Amino acid sequence: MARISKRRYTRLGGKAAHLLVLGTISLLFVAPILFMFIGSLKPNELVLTEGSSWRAFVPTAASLDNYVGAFRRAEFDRLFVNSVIVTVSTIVLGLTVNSMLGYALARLRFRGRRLVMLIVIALITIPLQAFAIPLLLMLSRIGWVDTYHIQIAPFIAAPFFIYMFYTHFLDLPKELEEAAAIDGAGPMRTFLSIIVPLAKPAYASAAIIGFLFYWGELLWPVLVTRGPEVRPLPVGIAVFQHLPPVQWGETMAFATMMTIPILIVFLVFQRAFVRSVARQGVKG
Amino acid sequence: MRVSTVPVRAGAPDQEPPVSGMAPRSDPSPGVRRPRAGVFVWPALILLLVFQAVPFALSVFYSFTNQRLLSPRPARFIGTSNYEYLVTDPVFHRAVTNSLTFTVIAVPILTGLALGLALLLDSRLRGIGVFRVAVFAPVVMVAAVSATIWRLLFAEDAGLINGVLAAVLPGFEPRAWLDDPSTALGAVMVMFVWRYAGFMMVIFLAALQGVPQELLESARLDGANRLKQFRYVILPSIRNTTVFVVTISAIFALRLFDEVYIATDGGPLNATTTFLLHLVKVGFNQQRVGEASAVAIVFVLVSVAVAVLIRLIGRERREVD
Repeated sequence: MARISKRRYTRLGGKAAHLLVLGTISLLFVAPILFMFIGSLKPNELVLTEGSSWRAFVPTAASLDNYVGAFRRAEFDRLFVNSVIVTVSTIVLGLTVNSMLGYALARLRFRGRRLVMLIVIALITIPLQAFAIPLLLMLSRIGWVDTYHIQIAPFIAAPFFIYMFYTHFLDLPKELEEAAAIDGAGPMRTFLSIIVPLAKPAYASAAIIGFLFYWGELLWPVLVTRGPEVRPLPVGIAVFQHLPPVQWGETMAFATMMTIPILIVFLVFQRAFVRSVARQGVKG
Repeated sequence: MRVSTVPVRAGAPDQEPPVSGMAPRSDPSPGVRRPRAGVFVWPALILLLVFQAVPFALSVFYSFTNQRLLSPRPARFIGTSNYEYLVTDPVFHRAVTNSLTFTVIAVPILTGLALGLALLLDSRLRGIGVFRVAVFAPVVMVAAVSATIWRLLFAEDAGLINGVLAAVLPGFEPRAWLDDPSTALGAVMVMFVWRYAGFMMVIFLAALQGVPQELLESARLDGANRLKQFRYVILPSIRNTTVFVVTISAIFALRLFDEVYIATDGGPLNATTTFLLHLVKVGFNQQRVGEASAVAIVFVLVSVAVAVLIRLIGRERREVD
């Protein structure tokens, strides 16, 4: 009897230890995010004085003053609208053109198909940073600097998403398309009425991943925006945290407001999100 | 029922010759409409060519000139002068050393940590999802925001890192982690690993769940303990994934920009300047597009070399087995 209870004890103990380790690790990973959120509620001085103690995680004095301050001093509303315009446009236009090219590569036969495929694969490996400055030079010569379109256009066609759609469409069963072809439907009709509804998960993944990429893009807007008129949020926070007088509470409020849209999207879609990341990894 | 599809590799020969769908041709079988692919292909293709391929070609071209960003003077062809300058430029040297050092140290840490986390999280405990989401959460944060937060966490007097270390280690002196050339890069590594661990963990998790259970079972029956199971069954099964994780971690590491731009601006004394930060400073702040293009080309070459190297190392170990 003693032997049995000892074994059960160690198994329970093992499970408890496992949970404890997991809990600690999870807290460590989430701590900076919590810190940001709690700090946004505290008056600026307290953020600094209490930042190095356990009180950093306790809302010792909670108010929304920092949010008001960030709104006013950083023109948060304008920056937010800019980010929304740029991100949503890029995603909507991107989903359209990228999925169409992905479909064409997977299902349609056309002259130069292999060349196009080669171009797409080659461009996946070349990062934006490798050609950002010449692109800036090109576009500044036609007066595109400091506009919305300069932030959107270069990102609409994305080799990564083209390839993602391509592999997804490749896996779809051909019978439906063949049936549609027999019924006399052209490729666009087939695409719109059959393929797109079937590929909804792929569109959702692309939209979410795209949202993550473009909402947080920093390098390109740094290069192409000048004043706050079309400046997006990432550049905004980079500027704001150095804007005198430097107020860390307000900066944390800015940071929180910037993060909330993504956190919401993430928490709502997290299972699909995590699964699509894993799927890409296994394919790789 | 799935129709088997021809696996496509880049450059692999097609089973049938590509048929034109973009230019009208005499139709050999009247009544069968040849699919018109033009409208599907041209929008993305034009965008790719105009906004990515052409600028990249320009990058290569400009690297051999003294092109400037705003000057009305036309650029002069100067051959390999830019590249020669880079060979002697100490700041560029620092950028390259930093990027490579960072990659060589941070990638194994990131990969090891991610694998460890995946093993811990590969469990059917109830509520395990909460822990997975927690570890993955930093991935979702905007990099600029994370860098901002960490800037405060690493602060000398108001920073939590110093606070925690002072509480845990007796006699600990608070350090200005981001202002000290000897610790700045390490601090950035912490930011980097924190940010990407969840992403790599998820990839490993998926791979772990693909490990054939029968192999594990037979190993267990043969008396292998957890460690042996890990070494002889799990590790070999996830080799491809591991190579993949190492590769993309290295790519992310070489492309480090947002964190150093916000938290350290490449300092102190260039201790954290990286390839891309240097590129931006030279091409944008100093307006020297020619030189920046040379930096960009070197960057692409180094990235390709690192990716190939990782692939070779991965493959070599397979043959040794």
